[in-house]
Amino acid sequence: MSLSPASGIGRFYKHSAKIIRFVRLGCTNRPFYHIVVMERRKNQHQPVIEQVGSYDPLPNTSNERLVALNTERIRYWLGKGAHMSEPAAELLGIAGLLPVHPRTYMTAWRNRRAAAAATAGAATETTEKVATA
Amino acid sequence: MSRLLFMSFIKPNWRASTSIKLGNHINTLFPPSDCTLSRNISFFNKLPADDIWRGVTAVSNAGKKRGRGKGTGRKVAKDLNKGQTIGLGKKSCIWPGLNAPILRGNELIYQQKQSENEDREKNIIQLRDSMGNFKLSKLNPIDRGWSGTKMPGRSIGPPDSVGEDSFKLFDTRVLENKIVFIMKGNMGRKRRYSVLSVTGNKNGLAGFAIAKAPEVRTALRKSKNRAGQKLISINLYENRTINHDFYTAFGKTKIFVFKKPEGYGLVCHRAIQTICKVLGIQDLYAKIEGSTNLQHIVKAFFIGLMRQKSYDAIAKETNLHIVERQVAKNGFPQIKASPLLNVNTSEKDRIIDFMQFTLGNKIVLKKKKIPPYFVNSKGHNIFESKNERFRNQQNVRLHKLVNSYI
Amino acid sequence: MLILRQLRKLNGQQRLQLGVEQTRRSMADAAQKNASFQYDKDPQPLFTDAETQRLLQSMTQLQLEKVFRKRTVPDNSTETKFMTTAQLEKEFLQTIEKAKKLLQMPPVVQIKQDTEHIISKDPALKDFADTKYVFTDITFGLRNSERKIVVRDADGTLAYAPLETRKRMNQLYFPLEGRRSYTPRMFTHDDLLQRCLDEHKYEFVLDRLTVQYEPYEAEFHNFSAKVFAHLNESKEFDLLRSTRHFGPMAFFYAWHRCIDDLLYDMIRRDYLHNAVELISLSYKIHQVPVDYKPILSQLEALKPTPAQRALAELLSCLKKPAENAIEHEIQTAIGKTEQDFAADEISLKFIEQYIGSKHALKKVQLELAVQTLKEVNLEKLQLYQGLKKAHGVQAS
Repeated sequence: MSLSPASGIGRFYKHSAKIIRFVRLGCTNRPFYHIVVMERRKNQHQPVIEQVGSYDPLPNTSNERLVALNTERIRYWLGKGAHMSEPAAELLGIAGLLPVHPRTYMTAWRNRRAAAAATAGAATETTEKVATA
Repeated sequence: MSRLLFMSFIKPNWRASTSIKLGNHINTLFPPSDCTLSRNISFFNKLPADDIWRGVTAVSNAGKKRGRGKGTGRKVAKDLNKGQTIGLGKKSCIWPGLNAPILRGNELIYQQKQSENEDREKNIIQLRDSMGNFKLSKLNPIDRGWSGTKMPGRSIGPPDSVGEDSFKLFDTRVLENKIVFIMKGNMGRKRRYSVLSVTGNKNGLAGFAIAKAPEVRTALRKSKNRAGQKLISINLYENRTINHDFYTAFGKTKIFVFKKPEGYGLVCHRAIQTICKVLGIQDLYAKIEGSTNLQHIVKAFFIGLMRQKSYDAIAKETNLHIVERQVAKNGFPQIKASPLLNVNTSEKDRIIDFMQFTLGNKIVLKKKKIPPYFVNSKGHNIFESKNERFRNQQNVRLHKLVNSYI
Repeated sequence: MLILRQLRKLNGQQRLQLGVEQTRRSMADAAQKNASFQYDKDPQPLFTDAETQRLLQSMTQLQLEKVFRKRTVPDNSTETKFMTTAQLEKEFLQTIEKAKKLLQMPPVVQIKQDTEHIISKDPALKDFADTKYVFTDITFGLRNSERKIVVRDADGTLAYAPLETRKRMNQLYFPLEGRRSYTPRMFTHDDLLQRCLDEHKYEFVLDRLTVQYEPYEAEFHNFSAKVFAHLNESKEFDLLRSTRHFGPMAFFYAWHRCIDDLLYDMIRRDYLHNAVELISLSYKIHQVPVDYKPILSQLEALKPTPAQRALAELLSCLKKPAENAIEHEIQTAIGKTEQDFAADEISLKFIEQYIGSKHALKKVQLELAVQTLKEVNLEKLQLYQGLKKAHGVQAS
């Protein structure tokens, strides 16, 4: 017995709830995700119905995060009424396949706010330093 | 060892004495009256060293017959007693009564130290070294036979020249060396050595012969020379392999022999390997079915070699072209032979397969390998699924190595 | 003190300016050097033109023993088969088709420029992540060229991926055999490439180049130009004959007006019709008002195409010696037929015309080669006629 193939051998009921979600593969400190379609109630490491993409969250040497999406199959499953897990929906939003997920906007806004606060903090620190000097 | 010899050196009339107290006293020779007698005789101090050694290492007659203890009889150890005399040791002392007289004229001699002889140790070691090592004479790995120090597979040189015919470029190899018995009316079981050997010039000329003689050496010589007289010429393909695949049999021995591309090597029975080496065949695969009687294998293989046909003969016989396609040449069709007559074979005619033709419609028995018992066991399944992650690891490592190479 | 500082400042600026100028000049030099080997306009329409292709194929020739030479492969097994004559003829036809496929030339096309194509700009998405995201559509059955690859920048812009990224992603998800994800060291280290060229491993370099780069990439153009330039100096053109790179090489020389060395090689090896084709190609590319078409058609009528010639060579071993065996023997001994002699005459005239024109650069060398060839040909012709007469073969 080897690992269950990514092409999918998962059994499923016709009317059961399906979900497009991530499956965490890789190893300790090195996550790698498969984007798969599987029955919603199932554990992520059980055989999947179909793999529809992959996502490497660690940037490569060119500072890119690589995502592969089988758009044809994703659209098929969405048309069939498959659900989306939140990270998967966010990723598809970033890809331009779906509208951008509100959560992405939230993260963006928070990141910007944090950056602004950091710069402001740095500025006050320098002025304080100048003042004390 | 030296102690042992020392004990055996002691003469019988000394045996009764228990311990000799050596001191600077004259009384030493006469045992004190309170001494208790004890019996210290055993084979250990009665027999000389050689006898005792033999007792430990020798094999009984019955054992010898069964082939036991072949390594014995040869001297394995050095005689460490050589160069040493009793009474003279590392510390050179005068022991009156042992290595010196007790009285010199009227004077009593006392035990006393002498100046140390520094060369003594050195001389002994030199003497021991000069005795030489009793090492087994080692054969060059190339000259070794199929197994151990046995004859089969070993080379016994070219056959002796007969008149002006010399077998300069020939090499003979022993294939079989065994004892055979026959019953004689007046002598009973008579035993002789039977030797099967093959000789060849590594260029398509070879012969084999069996000879029997009461001595191994004569049997070897006889069979070698007889093989030289029975040479058979065999056509080699590109001077390295056979002309085509063939099937051959002798008795219950069936051999399927396959022509192989350059660099394949000899993948076959060791006897066939040896014959091929002597013949000059370098690439070949042979599968033996049935009996693996050595004489039958040799005979069957030679019959097969002799029965090979040339491509021209096959083309003539079948009225078909023989085309060879090589993967390394991108499958370029090379015509090896064409029929003499241009017979128009219609599309409907069934065209025989070349291999089927050369093997005489025989098919090799391909046994299915039985999977090991642990396949499909729980533990093995876990092992496999854990290891599958690393299936590409070796490749990746290699790739990285290539990348980082300066 | 102040003055000194100012002086120093000035000096520094001067030096800076000088440096800038120097770099600009050296860049311009390099550009010029490169420009001399670049295609100034799109060569693709001219290259893929049916006539050009025919000329290039004819120049490439089809030497079966070279196309199907023994290569180092892991599997060196052979397969022996029985075949009828009809099957063999069919097999030969397939072999020729295979050879044509093996000799298919890598196209000569213009360098493709990167164009920016933004799909959407979303300032609200700025800083949503600290890196770019590259999305590759791995839908089954798409060609590499039509696969959608998009990049979402950290500032929220969604755009089509640049060519370099496209190539990388295609190679990552749909690897081409032989192409590496890293650049082979041959193409990163000049000295290694130079060593390959000095050892005349032109075919190896060009093969690797074709595998590693797309024909529209700048590297493909630069490296192939380098190889062809080196080849033009070493004059080992025969190494590329009957390989897929001979056509692009001839096209390259014709485009850059340096056909003379190749022409000399062709005349020396007695490939006169190839020489005519090369000159015609050069005329065609540079639109020289010389009418080469009638001569080409005349030659075509006299000379079989490489494929036809190769097929005839294959089929010749099937034929039994016929009645005109003697004539055939004479032809094979001399290596030329009557048609060849006729074709040579036409081609020589055309070549001499070229040498006389202003387009030829190495006139003396070419003239000498033509002269020696003429003498040899004359001798051959005399020998041919004499032999024919001696054997009583009727002049056909």
